[in-house]
Amino acid sequence: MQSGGGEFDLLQYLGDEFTRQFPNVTFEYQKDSFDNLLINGPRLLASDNPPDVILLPQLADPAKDGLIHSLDGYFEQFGWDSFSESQLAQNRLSDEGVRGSGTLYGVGAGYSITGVMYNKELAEQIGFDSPPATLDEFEALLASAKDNGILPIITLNPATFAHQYIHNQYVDPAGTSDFIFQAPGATIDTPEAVAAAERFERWISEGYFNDDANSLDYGGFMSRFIDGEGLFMFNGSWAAATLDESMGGNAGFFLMPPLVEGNPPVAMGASLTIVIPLRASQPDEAAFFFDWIHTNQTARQIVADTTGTSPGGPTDLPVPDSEPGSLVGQMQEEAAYLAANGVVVDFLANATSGFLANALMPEVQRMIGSQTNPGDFVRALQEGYEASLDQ
Amino acid sequence: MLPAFAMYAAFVLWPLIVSVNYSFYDWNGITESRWVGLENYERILTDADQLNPIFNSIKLLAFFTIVPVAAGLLSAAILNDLRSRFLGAYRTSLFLPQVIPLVASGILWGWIYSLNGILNQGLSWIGLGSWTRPWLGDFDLALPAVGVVGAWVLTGFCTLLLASGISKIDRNLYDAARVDGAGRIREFFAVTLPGVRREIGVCVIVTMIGALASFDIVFITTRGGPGRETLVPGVHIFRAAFVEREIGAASAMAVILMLLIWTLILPIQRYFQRDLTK
Repeated sequence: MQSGGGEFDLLQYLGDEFTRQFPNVTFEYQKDSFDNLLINGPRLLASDNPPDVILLPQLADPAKDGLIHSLDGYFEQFGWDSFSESQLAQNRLSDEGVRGSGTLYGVGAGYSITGVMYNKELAEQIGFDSPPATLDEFEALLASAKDNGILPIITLNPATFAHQYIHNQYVDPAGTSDFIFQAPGATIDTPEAVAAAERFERWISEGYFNDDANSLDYGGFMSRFIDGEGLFMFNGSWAAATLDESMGGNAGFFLMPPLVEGNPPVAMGASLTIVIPLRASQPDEAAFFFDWIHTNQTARQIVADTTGTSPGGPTDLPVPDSEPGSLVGQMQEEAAYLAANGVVVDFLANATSGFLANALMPEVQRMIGSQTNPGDFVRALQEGYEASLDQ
Repeated sequence: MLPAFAMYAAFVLWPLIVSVNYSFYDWNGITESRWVGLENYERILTDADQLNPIFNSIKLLAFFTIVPVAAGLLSAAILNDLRSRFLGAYRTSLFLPQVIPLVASGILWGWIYSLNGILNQGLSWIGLGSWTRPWLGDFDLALPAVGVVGAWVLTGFCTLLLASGISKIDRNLYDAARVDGAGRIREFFAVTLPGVRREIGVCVIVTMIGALASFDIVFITTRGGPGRETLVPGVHIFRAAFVEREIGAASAMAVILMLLIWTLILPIQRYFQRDLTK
């Protein structure tokens, strides 16, 4: 079994618990960094003797290349139609190479959601006690924080979440999904996307982000938020356990509010995708393990405790236990609420393999550095997207 | 000779031939490849975005070549005059950056340049608080900031090489210059500089290749950002090959980079190897 390092110890905990319950199955683990896995994953899949399970951040290209085992048979066998389909959709790929529908190639060892973390002490200082209902209300909080000498939002480099959080509220999520899933003719160059970028630009020029938004790394970003620098932070459920541990109940969370009150919440989320290589020697055992992760109460608890993400699976199963009032617990509830009442979209960064590095990251940095304008920004994203699709 | 050639062939010539071959294909590194002729080259040479990294690396030459060679000459000349017991310590401290892995240097300088890093702390402390900034996130200063890291790494190398060159210069030449009434500065230009001509040539060539083929420092400190301000061919090729899986396009870029380096280096090499006394 091949998995990422760091917080991705998850698969090892799951494997060990599985062996405890089914002693005839044992695992050998290989750890690698997430970045390395992005680079080496496809080569591992293509090797003569691949692992039976591999954590694979991007499955579209390897699936097109016929390197991944289809899970359609197991979907029938294990009755995965009881799972939330919106969570599985990201790991489907049609015969035309469009994600979102078609053959199922992977499932998630947990399904993340993203939203707004806030520092409760700082929130009290500006008299904010309940989550804002609209984007305008949220922006009023930013202004109020700024007026009180509090940094409104601390962001890491690149500030792609900040951009997409706004984008998600302006643009029809189906269109965003089409773009990310590479549906034919999909475009991000729309008036709504430009309007979203205009709001993003305003937040930048008003000074709502930290001065080093173009150079802060994840470690510095987390530690400075934990130390109380910044009212809000845009982050995902994977950060919840760390924040619980280091802020002791001082961190709160809400989903990014919609543009118009009452609209369903739209948030990014993705599965920690695990797949079975086509040449795996024991695909049936691996698929049984996948089903077990989603349905076994102990496994679901491990997923929640280790990563703060939702274990997904049959929608009628209870959410895993958590410390009352903890951020991890709140994440489980928000994930369930989002699954029932809102829309989950993938990260724009996942649109094509080169989109983040060649278009999204440099263009968002140029927005932060006031080197471009909303219209050019959105056009450049579309051009970068098309360039990487051409190849 | 033969074992040496075998190593050279296996680890230099063969990969070179293979890269040139790949550059004519559309290939993702795994499945079937497709012959595309010169298409990869055409795409690169007609796209300003693809050429931008090359221009960035040329700007880096100022920091990777000019500064280290000039500073190296100066400090080698001073070393030659110094007869101090601190000489060893001075030499070690200059050469230290060469011994530290580039990745570690990159991380170290990332801290130095960060908003709360020692550079900004120092500036605030001496009353230049208005100059503080996140250096590696600044559109105008990120490239010079990366360049300074390169200069820091390469100055020690140049100093050591030039100091050993100076120590081989015939002492009588200096005595003769003194007798003719030459001062320190005159002596430097009349005796030292011509005496280390070949060493300067080696320094210039090695540091130029370092600038044009740079990867580690940029990848660790900025990943090419902010925007595309510090994107250099090395990082660009790495992304094409391992992130986008365009092995053909990446190979074509590598071949173009190699030809560029050759074109720039060969005349310089010839110039420095020419024997001026004949």
